[in-house]
Amino acid sequence: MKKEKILLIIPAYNESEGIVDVVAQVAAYCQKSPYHIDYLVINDGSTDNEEALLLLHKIHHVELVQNLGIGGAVQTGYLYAQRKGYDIAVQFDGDGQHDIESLPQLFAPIINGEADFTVGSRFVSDSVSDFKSSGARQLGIKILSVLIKWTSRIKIKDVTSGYRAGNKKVIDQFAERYPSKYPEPESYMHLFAKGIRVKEVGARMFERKTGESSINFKKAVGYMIDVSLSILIASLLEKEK
Amino acid sequence: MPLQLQIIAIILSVIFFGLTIQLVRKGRAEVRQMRKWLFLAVIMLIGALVPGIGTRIAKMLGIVNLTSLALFTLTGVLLIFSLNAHMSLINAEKQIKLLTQEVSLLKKEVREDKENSRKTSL
Repeated sequence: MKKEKILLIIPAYNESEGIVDVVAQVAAYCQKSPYHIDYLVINDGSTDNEEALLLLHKIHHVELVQNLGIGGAVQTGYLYAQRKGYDIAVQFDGDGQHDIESLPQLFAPIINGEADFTVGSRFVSDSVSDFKSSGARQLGIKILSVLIKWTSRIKIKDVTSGYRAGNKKVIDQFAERYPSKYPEPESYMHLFAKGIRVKEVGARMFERKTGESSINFKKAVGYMIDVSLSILIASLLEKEK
Repeated sequence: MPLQLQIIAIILSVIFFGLTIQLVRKGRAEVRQMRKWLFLAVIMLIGALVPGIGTRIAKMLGIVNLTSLALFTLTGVLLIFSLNAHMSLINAEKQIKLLTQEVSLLKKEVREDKENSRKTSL
């Protein structure tokens, strides 16, 4: 039986406080897992001592020569996965928000052929996540979810979740095209246009362990406008059968 | 067109024309990149020197006077140029992103190769 090669893409920008612990958990999980799982940290041009720590602890990583933002960093991981022939790529946050123990829920539907792409969700019935984000954020997520449902007829509850896994089709798609800013919601529209089957699965998430979220009210309004427009325009993409 | 306005138009178009020529002459831009600006500068210069042509075109189009025609046309042209310039910037940004990704992945391979050769030499 073929053993799928799985790559965990871990984008990290100025995460020197917690990245070593996150990677230690990931590495321990990879060792005990019956699957072939590798990880790759993408140091997104960090200005703290993250690179020095990654080198010191011999953590498998790529250092981007300049900051590309979350979209460019994650896409670098997909490029790597494509070139190294990985079967499945999983996005996993470098700030400790995602529970590595939820990983099998993400790749099982892909291995079983039920889906091409899975989203780790806090809002589906089989999620054991106690952390659901703030009320304002949940409202924003709900609005974007309704917008995606309205434009594509496909319901994704946790549209901003960055805990996601995709097969080779998705790896190829994202290596080719991946939004540079606020990538998650818009990228669903790109996947739907390519006829990629998306499944939402329960996953546990935590509040970020280190660092601070950079989103304030002004940025949140800008985010909602940008993402909503991106979804509306992406809904005009030609659909592939 | 009032004489004062014509004088201002001539001065402005001569400065604009001179500036575009100067940019090419000093090697800060190539003719192929400046072609549209040079063309615009010539049109502006002709329009300022021979306002009769512009007035006739304005009348043919049913526009009250040359000033309105010039403003309307220039705004439209500048909007298109600006969109074009923005698209070039976006393309450059995409190319820089791709280059950054390629260089970073290569850098990783070089680092790993060095580590491996150090290990084997020990």
